[in-house]
Amino acid sequence: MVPWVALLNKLIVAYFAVVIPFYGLLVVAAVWASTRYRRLLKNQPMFRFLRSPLTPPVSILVPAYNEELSISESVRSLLQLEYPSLEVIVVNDGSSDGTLETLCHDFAMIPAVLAWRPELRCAAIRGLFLSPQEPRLLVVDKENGGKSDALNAGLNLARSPYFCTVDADVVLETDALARVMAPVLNSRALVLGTGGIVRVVNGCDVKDGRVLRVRLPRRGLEVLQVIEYLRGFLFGREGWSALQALLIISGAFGVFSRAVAMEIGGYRRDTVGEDMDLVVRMHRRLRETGRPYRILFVPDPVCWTQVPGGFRILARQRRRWQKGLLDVLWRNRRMMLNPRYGRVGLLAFPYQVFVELLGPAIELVSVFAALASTALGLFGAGSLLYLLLFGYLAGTIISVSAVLLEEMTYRRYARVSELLRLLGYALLDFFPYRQFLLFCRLWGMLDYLRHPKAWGAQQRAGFSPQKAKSAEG
Amino acid sequence: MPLLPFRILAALAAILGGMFLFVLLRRAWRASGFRRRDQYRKHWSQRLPSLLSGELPGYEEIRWAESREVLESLLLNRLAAAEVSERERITALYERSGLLEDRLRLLRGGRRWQRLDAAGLLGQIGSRAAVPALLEALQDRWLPLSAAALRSLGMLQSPTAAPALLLFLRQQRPMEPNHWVEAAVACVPHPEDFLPLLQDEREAVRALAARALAESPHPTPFEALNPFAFHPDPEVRAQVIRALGHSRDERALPLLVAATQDEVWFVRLKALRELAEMEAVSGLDAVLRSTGDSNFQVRQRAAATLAQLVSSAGEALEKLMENQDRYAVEGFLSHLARAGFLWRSLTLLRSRREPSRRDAEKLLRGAIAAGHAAVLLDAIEMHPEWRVRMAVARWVARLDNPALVAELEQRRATASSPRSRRLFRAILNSRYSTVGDQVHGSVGRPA
Repeated sequence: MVPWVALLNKLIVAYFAVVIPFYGLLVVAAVWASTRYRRLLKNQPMFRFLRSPLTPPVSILVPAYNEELSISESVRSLLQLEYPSLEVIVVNDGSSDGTLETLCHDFAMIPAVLAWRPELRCAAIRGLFLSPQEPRLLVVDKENGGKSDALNAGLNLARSPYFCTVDADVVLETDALARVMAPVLNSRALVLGTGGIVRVVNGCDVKDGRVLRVRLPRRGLEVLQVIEYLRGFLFGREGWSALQALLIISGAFGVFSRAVAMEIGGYRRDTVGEDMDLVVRMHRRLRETGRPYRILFVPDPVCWTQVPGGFRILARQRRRWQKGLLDVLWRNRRMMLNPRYGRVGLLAFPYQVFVELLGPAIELVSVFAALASTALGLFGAGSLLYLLLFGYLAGTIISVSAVLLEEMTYRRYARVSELLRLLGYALLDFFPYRQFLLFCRLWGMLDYLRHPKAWGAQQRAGFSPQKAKSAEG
Repeated sequence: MPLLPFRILAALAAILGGMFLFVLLRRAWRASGFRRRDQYRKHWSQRLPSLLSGELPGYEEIRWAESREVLESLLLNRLAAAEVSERERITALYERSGLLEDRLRLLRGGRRWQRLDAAGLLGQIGSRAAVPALLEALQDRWLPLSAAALRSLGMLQSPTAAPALLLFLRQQRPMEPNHWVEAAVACVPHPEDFLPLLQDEREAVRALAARALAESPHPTPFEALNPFAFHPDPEVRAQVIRALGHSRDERALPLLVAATQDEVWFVRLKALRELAEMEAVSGLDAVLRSTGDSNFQVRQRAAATLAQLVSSAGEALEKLMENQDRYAVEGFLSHLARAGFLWRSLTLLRSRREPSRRDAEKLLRGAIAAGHAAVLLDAIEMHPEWRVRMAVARWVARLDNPALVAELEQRRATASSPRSRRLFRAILNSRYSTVGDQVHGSVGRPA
């Protein structure tokens, strides 16, 4: 028994000896990329993008399922975006609440008969609606088929070379689309996709589809998610983008080339990780056909989203995410350590497998191994304490670094009290919040192995407090 | 606990504490910086009118980097929204106060990022005195700097930069293509200068030159473009077609019509777009033919072109229906619907202008024949203006179309309001009392 535990300890130490410096590398890459991005953009006025005849039109796709509470404000915020040429396509994915009726009422939608080509398979379309007041808005009413299916339906009706996917419960800043499209205009190679940062809207003042005042949420669980989002986007995505191996663009706010999306058959309809799946398959396609391309993260276009306020809903959400991750990685397993896919296959994909997917299991095993080692006398209680403290401090440094990077770059939380709260909660991020997430993620994996096709549902609260209350009631 | 692990823990704890301290101190330092900047901003805002009218800023005031930056940002903000005369005054102030000279010095001899900042700012300032320095920066090996120089040259729109920009493309130096196109379009006054580059062996050079040619705001003479209309490279061909459209020369029409049958779909697409731009009614047959193109996007474009070419949408629809091409009709009606025109045409049923009303009727009759009757029935139920609902109802009653009866009955049964129900009932009743063009009934009065 003892030799096996000792061997396990060595393996765990080797794992962390690789992973921790890799985190360090990501942090360095992210800080470098963020600083460079801000300096490069410093003297590029936004009006250049808005006035340029070369700025391509964009179709914004909004899949909506039971979004009655927030859909109108979201659509209003999208129609207010500063962008020279855009159309908004809302796909009502067979909602059982009043999503369609709300849209029809608020935007005076009328039924329309339009010619479109069903290039991508999707569930039956029940009707199309246009607004005489706002010709840029199109609503597609279809049978329920899931988010991917709804996005495919929207893609069939989109008319622009680029499409932007936006969740129905988010609010975009007015210049977000122009900023996220800037790399398309600036890049040397074909830009297949770009994604902006997703921030937590809970606690902020939102009116008429605009965030009027940025504030930290009141609930501790939501503040912890603020830190988690900062870490995930400012370090994770920024770092991978700098290494040119970005595998995820959030479906909540991402822009993609329509031609390439059509070429790869659009979204896979039987997965919940459709956003990551699309990006991974784009990488695959372009690498296999030897075409130069870029997939980028842009740190300053902001998309504000609601995060779950309760443990149960958060656990459900994370289980879904983990199932989606496992599903996507399994379907694209050919890319794993395959030199044909360059950095994506040799670096990003193994990272997703060993750190994001198997990380929770490995961390759990590490805790048990440490306890077993102490029980078997391999090392003393002092060493166990040292190990736990080391883990906590190293993890907390990464969380605090995310707050630090936010403070040094975009500084959305202006009040000192908010900054202090952020820093305070950063101390709780690695313990006990992370353990809760580990548990959810493990649960998600087990769930996938038992029921690979069951994705579960999500609950929405709406932006205005009255709506949220009525939803809770 | 052994000493080494303790030291490691202590180091980590110290790093954490240091980060906390750094964040808080930085916040405090920035707060004082913002206060200082606010003071400078206030100072310069008060003095700005007198500075613009000719006064010079004092040496002491402008010596401090922070003060200078605040003044510069104030001027740049003002420039972004200024009219021509004010732009000139602001640019003159830049030159007079030494701010421009400062930036030029930094562009030529500053550190890397200072050079980049200067290159970006010089474009925004708008002084053509910066062109030589920007042309030097264009040749720099650091890509962000040459890109910033390209952007700024584009903003300055100086023809003196044209030869250097063309040479830049010939040298095929690394660059961001859109930046070059923007700069070339802004600086090259004679689009004919791009034409020799269309013969270049390198595809990338040809493609960029062709794009710049097509985007140029100056029309290119027909004689110069004619030889390239059948260029073997489809990308060049498509852009030349666009340039031919911009030339507004009637001699280009046969070439555009011929291009609607090109083997490459995007060339056909561009040709249709240009026919619409030129409002070339003589190309109507080609457009009608293209409404049945094998490519969906070309069909859509043809429908849109048709809507633009024909003065009346009703007449266009009639022509399409004569061809009995269902796809073309659907495409055309979809285009009108997505542009909001179909719904707007309903209000024309009340128009006092006879031709407008007749054309709207023609269009709506075509829409009914193509299976789009729902738009009328929806209007009867939902149109925000009651008068328009009435007008549509009267017109539908006058139509006396037996194919609509079942749908009208259904609508009457499911109508959301009693008012709408009464309206549908009235249409159905008046149908039985229709004699010729005259309708007797509650909705039968002339509109």
